[in-house]
Amino acid sequence: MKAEFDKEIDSLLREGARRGRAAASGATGARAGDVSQSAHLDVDEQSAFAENALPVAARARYTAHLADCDECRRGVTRLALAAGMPAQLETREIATGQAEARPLSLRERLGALLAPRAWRYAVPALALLLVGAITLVVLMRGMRRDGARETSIAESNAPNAQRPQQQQQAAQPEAHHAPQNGNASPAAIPGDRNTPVAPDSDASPLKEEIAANRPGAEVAPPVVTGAATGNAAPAPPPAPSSGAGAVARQMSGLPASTPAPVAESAAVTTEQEAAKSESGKRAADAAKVERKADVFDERQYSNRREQTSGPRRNEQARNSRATNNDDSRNRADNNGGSIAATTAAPAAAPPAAAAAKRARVREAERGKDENRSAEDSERIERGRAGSAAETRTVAGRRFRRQGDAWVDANYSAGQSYTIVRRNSEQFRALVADEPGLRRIVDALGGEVTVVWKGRAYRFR
Amino acid sequence: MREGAARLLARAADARALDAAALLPRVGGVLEKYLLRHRPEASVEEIDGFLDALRADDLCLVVACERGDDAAWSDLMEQFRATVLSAARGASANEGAAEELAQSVWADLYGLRARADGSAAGKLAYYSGCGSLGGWLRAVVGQLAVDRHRKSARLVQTEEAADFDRLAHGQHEETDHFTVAAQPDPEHAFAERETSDAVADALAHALAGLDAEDRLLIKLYYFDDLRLREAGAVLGVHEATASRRLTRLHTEVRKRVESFLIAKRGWTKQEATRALADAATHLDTDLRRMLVGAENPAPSERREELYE
Repeated sequence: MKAEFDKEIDSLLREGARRGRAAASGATGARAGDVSQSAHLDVDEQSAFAENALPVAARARYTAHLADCDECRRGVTRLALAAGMPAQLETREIATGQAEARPLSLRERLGALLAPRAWRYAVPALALLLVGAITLVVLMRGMRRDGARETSIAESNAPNAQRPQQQQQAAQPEAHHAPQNGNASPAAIPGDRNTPVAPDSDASPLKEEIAANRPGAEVAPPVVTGAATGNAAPAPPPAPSSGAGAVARQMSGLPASTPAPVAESAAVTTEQEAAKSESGKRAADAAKVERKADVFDERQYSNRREQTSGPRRNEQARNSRATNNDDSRNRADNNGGSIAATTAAPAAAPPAAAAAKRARVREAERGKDENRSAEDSERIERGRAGSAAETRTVAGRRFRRQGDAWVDANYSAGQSYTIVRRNSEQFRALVADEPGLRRIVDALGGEVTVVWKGRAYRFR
Repeated sequence: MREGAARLLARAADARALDAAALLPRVGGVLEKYLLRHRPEASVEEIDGFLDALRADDLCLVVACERGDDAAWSDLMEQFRATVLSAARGASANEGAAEELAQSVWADLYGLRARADGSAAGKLAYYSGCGSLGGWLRAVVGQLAVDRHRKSARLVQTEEAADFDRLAHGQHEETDHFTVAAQPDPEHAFAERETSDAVADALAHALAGLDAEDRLLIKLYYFDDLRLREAGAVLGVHEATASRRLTRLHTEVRKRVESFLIAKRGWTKQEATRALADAATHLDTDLRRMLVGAENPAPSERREELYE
């Protein structure tokens, strides 16, 4: 603890000194207090003392003398002040401070770092830091998992939410088999981008609300299920309303007032009766396979999701949704109309696909009455494709009309593309670099998918 | 010691044609006076350290002057004329007296008088080389000035500051005597005197236990009215160190006084503290007597000591 200046003792000593001075001068004159003349310090001793140049022992003895001898003390004081000792001491003090403040060598720094005194505080601090970091990582991981779960819920509600391309390819063979599974959703007609696709039948109202509140959910069109959810969706423009629609509604348990989701699916329901038993058997087999695929897909998807950021994820979802629509269309073309398989969306966004699969499995297990066969779907698509088959050639490239969109013949299924909006800055920059693209886009109008120098662009 | 002298010569920028043998008597005398007399058991390292701290250039210059080296004398006067004159001005009333004093100093240094053995009795023989030659010359001038003053003081009565103090004190006491209107309560007066005596005893006990440096600090600060910076300069410490030392000294004195009053008088801590606070304002005691050391050894047998 720092001692404070004691005013009482200071006053006591000052008063005592004053009285002592007066008493001494009154009693024995100005020389009072002096020791005998022979004991005084000589000039050499005085100057050496004043300059602080004496050995310790000699200095101690002279100090004792100076404490008692007024004359010698005055002489030494005068010499010390004349020699500039206060300034010298000041300089020495500064030099000492600078010497103490000099930069440490590496060895000294290491020594200071490894000193037990430093470790005494450093070890607990490091331990606390470590615990904090671990806690943070665990919390972050938990939050990320929750976020991924929420996102997957939201995306599962989106009809076209897509999984990464890798998973699409992995799921592609499955899509080819889908028509045979008899799980093709009658409500979704591939090739028509306005056609709602069957979503996850497990989507609860809560999940839908979460999905609706998420930014990515804005791009997802309203989810409509034909058979599973029982919610009606506005019929696509080409969808005719016929008696078959009523049959389909009956099969899916929809109320009569519910509009038929897809007319084509309903048109073949009479033939499904015949294939009912065979279809049920196939569905049971497919359920086993798809359960395994679900587990694999979910795992793969969650791994990938952790590597992607939010905005990128949204864009990817948008892109892949669009891609899958085209993918489905192309595959339908390539497979001679096995569009139902694509519509069943095994290659859709992972959570959506998985959910759809689960729904189909349940349907298959449940549903002996689910008697939509692949052949029926094939027939539907064939009829639809026939009506939509229109091609144009622009700038030496062949384009196929699919609904309102034109798709480059070179565009392969599953190929990722970049969406470019007309009159956007991106569009202007692109066509400035590639004038050929502008010619194509201007000539075709509407939505155009072009494969240009190995990359696919979708102009809207 | 011969090695020490040789090293001293080697350290000097200008050895002035001196050899170790020429320096040996001077070095031996200095060593005896400042080290071995106070510390006979000094080790070789201590002796070497002491010899290596001597002012080689100044000592060589002085020894050369003593040996009659005219060039050395010229150098000495050229280098230190201003120093001597400056010191003389500080100790003299006017310029004329200062010049006269300076001339006297040079005469003493040169040694116009002769010793018993016929050699010149120059004051340079007393220079040890411990301090700087300039400082030593200032001390010589100061001593000569004091001697002159003493001689003249026998003829002229001078009044010093202490005389005014004495007069003021006496007047103060006299005034106090007349301002007392009524006789104080005898019991109260007795108690006050008892308390005051007890505190004075305790204070004497406390101050007697102080070491020489603390006593010197009290003398410099309270008796000589020096500032802490100046008192520190005499003690060879920085002002801050002197301040810390004084604060510690206060604490120590208070602790000793209170302990003494509690132990010897049976007072409580509060009583001791209150008595000390009262005494701070009106303790009538002579601190000088309390500060005289138990022993007052003579630092040297003679006022000045020759090294040869």
